[in-house]
This record gives sequence, structure tokens and C-alpha cells, in this order.
Amino acid sequence: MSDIRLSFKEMCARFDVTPRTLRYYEYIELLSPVREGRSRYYGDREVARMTLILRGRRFGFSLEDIRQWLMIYENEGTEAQMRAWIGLADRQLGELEEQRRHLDETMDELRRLRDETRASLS
Amino acid sequence: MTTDTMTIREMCDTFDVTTRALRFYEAKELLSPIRQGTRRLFTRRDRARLKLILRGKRFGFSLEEIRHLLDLYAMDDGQQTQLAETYALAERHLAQMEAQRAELDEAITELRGQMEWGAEQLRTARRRDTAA
Repeated sequence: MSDIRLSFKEMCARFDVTPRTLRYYEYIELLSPVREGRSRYYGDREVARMTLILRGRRFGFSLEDIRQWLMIYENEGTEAQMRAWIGLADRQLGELEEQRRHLDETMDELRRLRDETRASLS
Repeated sequence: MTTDTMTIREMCDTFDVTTRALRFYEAKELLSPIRQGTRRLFTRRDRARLKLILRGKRFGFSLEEIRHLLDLYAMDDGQQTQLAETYALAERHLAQMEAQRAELDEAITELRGQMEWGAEQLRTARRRDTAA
């Protein structure tokens, strides 16, 4: 069923991550590539999981949260798990929005500094 | 405050920083309080510099960038060079923040989408249950 078969190096390149990161995700069992001797190969499942892992990281989820999320995706999860995840996502959404508010404030302040500076330049 | 210098404690209270932070800036030679034995007395100059340091940090300026700005203050040109550099630095960091903001926007939109997907899954499951 697996159409894709990526080597360790190809996987790093595809997702723009360091070997260290990729090995770490394997170590904590978020990824489980096929091992052949000293080589590792990544199929559709691992690529899909990696996409979700990085997306979750971008949302600011912890790796533990992401593990839950992957379970929901793959087992289609129970309703309770899905509900738990939506709760989690909702909380994270609040945090991202808070971050954005904070960033907007800092940017306003910095724009003021810039404009004042420009005005004082003779 | 009767004297023009401040103790480390007064500095902490006034600027809402830790003693550790003040010692760090001193070690990096951004501040140079008068030392009396183990006591440190911070001058007006230190205070002015600390204000600049803290503001720069909030904007994401690196310590080296801040040091550079502080050094330019000593130049005898009515601070024109310092102002010009501050302006350039502000522009550069604003551009970075704008990129960061765009990323945040994208993450927020995507996360909302995921949540809607999840909610839809739950609704579908419930409909299935009701139908069964």
C-alpha cells in the first residue's frame, strides 16, 4: 500500500529538519520507520505522521499533545478523545491569539519608536 | 531618594528586573555601577542605559545590537548616528515581526480549520448513532 519510500536523508530534506530531530521523534516513538540494517525507510504513514507532528509543533502543541492527536487520526479515536483534542486545540488557539495580540502591541510600540527616530533625524 | 545613585534593590524595584539580570548586564559591561566593597551604586547614566537595554530587549534586539546603540551615544554628533542606527534596527526588527505575525496568522487559520474538522467528525458520529 505504501507508495512512498524515503531514506533518512530524503526525509530530512523533505521536511527541512535536522537528523537529530528526526532521530528524536523516532526515539520517543512518534515515528517508526522500517529498519533495514543501518538504514531507515519512511513510507506513507510516517510521512503523514511527520506532516501532522510539524503542524502540531507550529500550533505550539507539546509532543505529548501531538501523540494524542496522532492516535485520534489513526484509530479514528473515540468520541471522548476527539472531544479532549478539541478542548486542547481551543486552549491553544486562545494562546496563539494572545501571542498575536502581544506581538501587535510590541509592533505598534516599535513603529512609534521608528517614527519618532525618523522625526528626530535631521 | 536623597542621593543620585541607587542601590541594587532600588534598581530592581524601579525597573522590575532581578538582581541577576543587573549583574548580568554589569558582567557584559553594559552597566558600570560604582563598586563600594560588595555594594553597587547605580548612577543616572546606568539608569538611562538600563532603560534603553530593557526597551531594546522587548523589541527583540540582541545584546550586541543594544551595546552598539549605547556606544553610539558617546559620539559627539548630537546623537545623529545613534538615531540613524536605531531607525535601521527598528525597520529590520519590524520586518522580522511581520513575518512572525504572518506565520501566527497561518497557524491560527489552520488550527481553526482542524477544529471545525473535529467538530464535524463528532456531529457525523452522533448522526450515525441516532440513525442506528
